[in-house]
Amino acid sequence: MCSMTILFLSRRNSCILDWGHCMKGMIFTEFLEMAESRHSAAYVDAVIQEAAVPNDGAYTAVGTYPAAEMGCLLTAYSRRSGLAPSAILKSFGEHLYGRFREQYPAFFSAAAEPLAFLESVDGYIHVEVRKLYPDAELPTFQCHRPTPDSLVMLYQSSRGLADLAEGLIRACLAGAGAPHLLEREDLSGGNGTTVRFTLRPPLHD
Amino acid sequence: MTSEDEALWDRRLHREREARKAAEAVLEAKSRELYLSNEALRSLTSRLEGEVVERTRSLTQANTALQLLHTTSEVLATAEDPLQAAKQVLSQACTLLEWDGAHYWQHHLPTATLQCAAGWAMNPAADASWLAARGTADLPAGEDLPGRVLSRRAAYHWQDTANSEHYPRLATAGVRSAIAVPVMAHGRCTGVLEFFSRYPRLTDLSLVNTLTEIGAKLGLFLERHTAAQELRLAKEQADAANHAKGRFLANMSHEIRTPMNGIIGMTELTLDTNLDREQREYLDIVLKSAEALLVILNDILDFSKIDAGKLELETVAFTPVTLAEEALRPFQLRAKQKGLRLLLNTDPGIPPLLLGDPGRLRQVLLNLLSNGLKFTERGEVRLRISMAQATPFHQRLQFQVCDTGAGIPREKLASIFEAFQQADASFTRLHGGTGLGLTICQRLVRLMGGELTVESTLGQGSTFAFSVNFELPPQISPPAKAMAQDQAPAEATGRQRRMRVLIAEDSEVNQVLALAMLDSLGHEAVVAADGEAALRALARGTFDAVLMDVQMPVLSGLEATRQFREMEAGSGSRLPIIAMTANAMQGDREACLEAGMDGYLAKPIRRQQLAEALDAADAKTFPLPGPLTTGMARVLPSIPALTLDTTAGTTTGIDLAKALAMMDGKTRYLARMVQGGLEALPRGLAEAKHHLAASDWGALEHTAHALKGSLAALVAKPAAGSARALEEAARRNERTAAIAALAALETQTRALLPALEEALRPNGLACESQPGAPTAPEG
Repeated sequence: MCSMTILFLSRRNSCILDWGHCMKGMIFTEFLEMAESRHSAAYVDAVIQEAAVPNDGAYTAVGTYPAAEMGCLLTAYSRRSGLAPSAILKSFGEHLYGRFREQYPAFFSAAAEPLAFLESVDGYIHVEVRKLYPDAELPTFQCHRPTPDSLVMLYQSSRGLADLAEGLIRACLAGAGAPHLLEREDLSGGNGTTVRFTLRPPLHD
Repeated sequence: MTSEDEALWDRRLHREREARKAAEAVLEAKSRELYLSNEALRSLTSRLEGEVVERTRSLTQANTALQLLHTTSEVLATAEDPLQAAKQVLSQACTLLEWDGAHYWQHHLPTATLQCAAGWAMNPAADASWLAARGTADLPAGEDLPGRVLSRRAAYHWQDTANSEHYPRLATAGVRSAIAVPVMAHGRCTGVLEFFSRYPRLTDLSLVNTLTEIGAKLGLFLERHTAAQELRLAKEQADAANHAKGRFLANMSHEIRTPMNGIIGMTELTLDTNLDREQREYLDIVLKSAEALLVILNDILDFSKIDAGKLELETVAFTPVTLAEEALRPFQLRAKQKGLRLLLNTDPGIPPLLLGDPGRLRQVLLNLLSNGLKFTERGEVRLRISMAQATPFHQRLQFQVCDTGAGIPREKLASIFEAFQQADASFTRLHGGTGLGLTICQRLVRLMGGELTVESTLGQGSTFAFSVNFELPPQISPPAKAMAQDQAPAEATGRQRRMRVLIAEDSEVNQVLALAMLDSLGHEAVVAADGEAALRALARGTFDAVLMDVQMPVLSGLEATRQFREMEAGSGSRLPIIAMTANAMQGDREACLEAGMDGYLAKPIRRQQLAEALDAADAKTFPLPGPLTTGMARVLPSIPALTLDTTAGTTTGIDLAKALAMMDGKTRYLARMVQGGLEALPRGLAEAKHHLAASDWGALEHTAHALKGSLAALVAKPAAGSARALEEAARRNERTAAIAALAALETQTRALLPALEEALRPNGLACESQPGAPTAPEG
């Protein structure tokens, strides 16, 4: 999930859209691929047409695009599928996690245990990400362990993509076969900019 | 496929194409970006490389400068000759800094010009022009490069691109650039260092600074060198002056001592005449003053010799206890007069014979005892000798002189042995002397390997103590044997024959002394009063040996010897010549041997040494082996000028007239001989009887030989014949013949003793003849 942070990049002075923020092209190509794999090429074509993004959906992974376009695509997909944007983002997070594992296996080999891996995101993986993308605008994850087998992560990001983060976390836990329960509490009044995730082991009888 | 599908796929295809184009554009942009970054990086790298090169160059330069300063310091630290040092500095600087040649210009103050004193070139053969560039003319201040540096007192860098017309000397020599720095010392410019290059070289401030520093270092060195040289010169002059002073002192002491002996002798003689009480009192004072003066002279001579390290110790056998007794003897009368006890404590284990310098040991003891007696009014003065450590080859003896006198204040104890440090100047005034006595004692003891110490309690007395190592004589461990050896003089070799000896000596006192000794050794002697007289005597007569005084009027002993050796050359024979000199300075012996002498005797001559020297002369075993001692500062015995009646005793088997003729009419020498005979003959008779009783044939033969010599000198022919018979009998160990010969000898000798006394009577006829005439016998 840390790796997801790679995707939210800022390009100062190069943005012409309202947010002033850009996103890595890979997010767009992955998003459209996920949609196509779940539906069809005609479905995605319809979403793109409905979203009316300036380049008509001609995204390349090596490019960089305004973050607002992602908002348009998400909205279009949600309308067409009837799914809530938050559900789409969570599911997209899970999809991304799998893609990251495929594309950047080196990031995932260092810590096999999921809590330890998640804990290391802010301190270790973000450093590695910055090596590759010096201008990446990353969220922060302040972590602490109330007990040895639980973890609290405080997500803070101006993008409000806590749902995407949740999807990534869930995929991480599922991928490792961890039985932990995930609790989520929004501390920013529903903006999704400051969210506390609490991972704890299942309750025993 | 429906048109709907077609439209979809068209859109899809369009999207993919657009995406590809976008990706290509991104990649294009990225690659351009990469290229630009790479370019930027390359330019940065090359800039850094340039910086590194520059840094390395300046570091190398700094390193070279340091190395140059270091080697310059090293060169200057060990350099002896200033020009050599300058040249080395030039070569080091040129080699390290890669300049082709250099000059060192000296500032010549009298002419206020620069003179080229040294040059150096990387390749002297090819670079002869560099060396020629110095020119022969001196440069005034302000002229040419060095002159400019001299007047500015600052470094100057020149290139042929600038002001070439001012430097024709350099331009002609093919110099393209030059740098010159002042040689500075304490703000004065004492010279200039000038460096040349055949290539143009940029001005380099750090190089100029380095060379300026080299100039300063060289300047300081040169100044230090000059100072050191001045110091050395001053020291040499001072040393020479000191040496001359020491020599003068020794000579003067010697010169003064000879007339002092005359004063003492004449005073003693006058005291023997009829005098009234007042005259006698005055003369006593004269005598005591003269004796005190002699002591002072001896002190000064000793001190200057010790101070100059010119005093050598003898190593001869002596009997410690006897020496101690002898040391006490002169003080017995004074001790008795003052009511003091004078005591000697000796350890019974003290060896009977040790090797050392008894004369110097006695001198120390006499001095300490004299002090003890001087400062003690009640009680005693005690000399104690005890055994300290002993090894198979050495015996350490501890000597203590204790008195019950006034004692020495604590604050004066520390400086008591220091020369000219007498704490109280009034002390010298009160007690006389040079105040050098204890200093001399301390130094003598140190020469012997000991240390003189003092302990004193005010009002209770003082103890002076020292211990000295003495060698044990080899192979003489049983005391009885040692005693026997001690008593048998070394001259008793039996080989000695009667020799005819020429004494070349100007001092009458010494003439008499040598005559008396030769006489007692059984030799015949003729006297010559100066070198020329000696040469005349040698030309006319036949001698077995010559005793040659070194310092004589008219012709010195050295010159006389040289001339005689020339005369003698080709004759196939070599007459032994033995030097006699009171000169206590080293180098005299070498001078004597160089002049052609064979042996060397230091004055005052001692009988034993004279006997050994003559033995060696007889056996032709010159030069004399072993260490030669310098003359000891000792008071010569006073010789009264006797008169003689040569007609006395003609009826008793003695012919003094003939004896006088043999001595070339010198009555006073004969008189001395007669006086010697009066003492020696009865003693000889007694000794002969003793030896005969003990069947000591060797000793008897020796005594008989000596008696024979004495009697022959007095021309007492019958008695001399008996002595010869006794000598023969002793040699053959024939008791009966010896008894007979001794009886005859005694009768004849006793008979002539009154005649000798008669001849010496004061009113006897004095017939001293031709006092100024040559004293060698005619014919």
